Amino acid sequence: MDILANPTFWSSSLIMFVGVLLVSIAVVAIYLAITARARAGKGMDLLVDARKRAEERLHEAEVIGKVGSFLWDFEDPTRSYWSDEMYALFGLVPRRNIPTIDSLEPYIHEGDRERFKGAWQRATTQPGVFSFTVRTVSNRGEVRNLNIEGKSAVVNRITRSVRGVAHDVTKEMEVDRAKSEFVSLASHQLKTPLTSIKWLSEILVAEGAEPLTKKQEEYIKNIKSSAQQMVEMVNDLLNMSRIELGTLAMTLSDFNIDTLVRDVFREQEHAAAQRKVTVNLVSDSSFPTMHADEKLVRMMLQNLLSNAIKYSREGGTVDYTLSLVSVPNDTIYLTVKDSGIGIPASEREKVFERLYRASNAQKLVPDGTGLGLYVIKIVLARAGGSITFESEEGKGTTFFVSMPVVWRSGEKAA
Amino acid sequence: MTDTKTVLVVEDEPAVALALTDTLTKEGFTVLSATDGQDGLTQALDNHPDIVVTDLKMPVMTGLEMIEKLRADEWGKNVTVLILSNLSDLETLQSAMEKGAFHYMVKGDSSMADIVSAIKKHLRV
Repeated sequence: MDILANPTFWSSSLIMFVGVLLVSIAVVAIYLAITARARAGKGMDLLVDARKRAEERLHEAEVIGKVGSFLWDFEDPTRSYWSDEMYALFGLVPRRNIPTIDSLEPYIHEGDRERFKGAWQRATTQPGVFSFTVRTVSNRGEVRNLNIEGKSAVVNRITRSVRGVAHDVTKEMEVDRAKSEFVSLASHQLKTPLTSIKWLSEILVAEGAEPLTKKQEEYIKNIKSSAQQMVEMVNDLLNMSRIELGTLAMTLSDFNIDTLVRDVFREQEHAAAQRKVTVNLVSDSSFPTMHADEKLVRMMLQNLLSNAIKYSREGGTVDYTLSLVSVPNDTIYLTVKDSGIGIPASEREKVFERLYRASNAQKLVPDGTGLGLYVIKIVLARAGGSITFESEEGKGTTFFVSMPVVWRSGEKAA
Repeated sequence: MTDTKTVLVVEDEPAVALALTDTLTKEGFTVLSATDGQDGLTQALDNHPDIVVTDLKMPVMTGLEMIEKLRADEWGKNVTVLILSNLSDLETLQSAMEKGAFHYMVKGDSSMADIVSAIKKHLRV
């Protein structure tokens, strides 16, 4: 029998062929599956490595920059984190569950706790960015100044998350403090020789032209007026450093504002005459006795008047008007209107900034500290008063000051 | 002035002392001068001036130390002390008042006329 003619032979061969084919496909599939997995595993390893490296770099950057980062996610607390440097800044060891704000209290400097709570409360209830500085104390008693900045996500008055960074600014603050202390010390030292120049020229002026010639008398008046200007500048510097050091003291006493304003007016008569500026003083001897810091009020009156004179054109006019408004509070209003160079519109926002001087003011009067208005604004804010202005470039500026007749009791002004 | 009052000026800065001494002499006071706290204390206890006008930052003995020692003396505990200084921080001021100063004036912020009138007010002349 011819085997090839046997149908059974053909069917079993076909079955075998299909079987072998299937097995081969399975083998290839298994091979492919295994190699793909290996490749995927390798890719995953690479990803993990890259992430680890990025984390290490971030950690290094945080350590070098003394910056810690944090996220409190109130919707999904598992996403919350504190970076290792964040723990280090608080003098803590990293742990699985990140600290709550309440649990941080012992690590906040006692003097800053209330402020910290308030700042945190505001940060977490108001959407947007926040920034505040707080002192922390580690278990070892190490004190750090941390500037905490961040952003809160608040939706329908519900805080979803707070994320941000804490930056160790201890060194920066020490440098700043040293700078303020230096300014304070230098200003004190400057005041002593200035005092003798001022007093001795005062004596000469008071003694009159005999035996001085008219010319000599004029020289002495100029020396006196320059010494006065320097005293004012040194006072501005001192007041600025006191504000920054938190040592600006308010010493309240009773005094007559009308007498004081006339005194300041007399002091600057010579400077006004030199610039041919007419000062129209309006004041009233019936103003109530002020209970305030006389030195600071004098400083404000001096500064505003000398600015008005300095920035007036030759032959210009300054209206220096004091008035009293009794309702609702006893408040003294001072308006100082000059017909001077004015403040450029683009610079008005910066007028009360520390060390800022408007560009046209610098051109006209190169010397000046840019501190007068900054100090006035801070002092008035502490005393319960305010200062605003209206200005038109080329036409003049009017400053409006309001201050209570009775200042808040002897608190520190900073 | 029928009865001439004596002012003791304690000041280490010669130019400032000169301005004070000359002005006060011209105003009719008898003026004694000392250049540091120790000298001031000795002169005060020896001469019993009507008022002591003193600086604070001085060599040998500061103004505050001098006031403290003055207040320990039977006569010195009641004498009027006026401080004339350029130190105007709150701490110094409080400390001066606690130690027994009657009046505190900041030099750079006061004119000679202010100082003369403060002295006259204290001495009721």
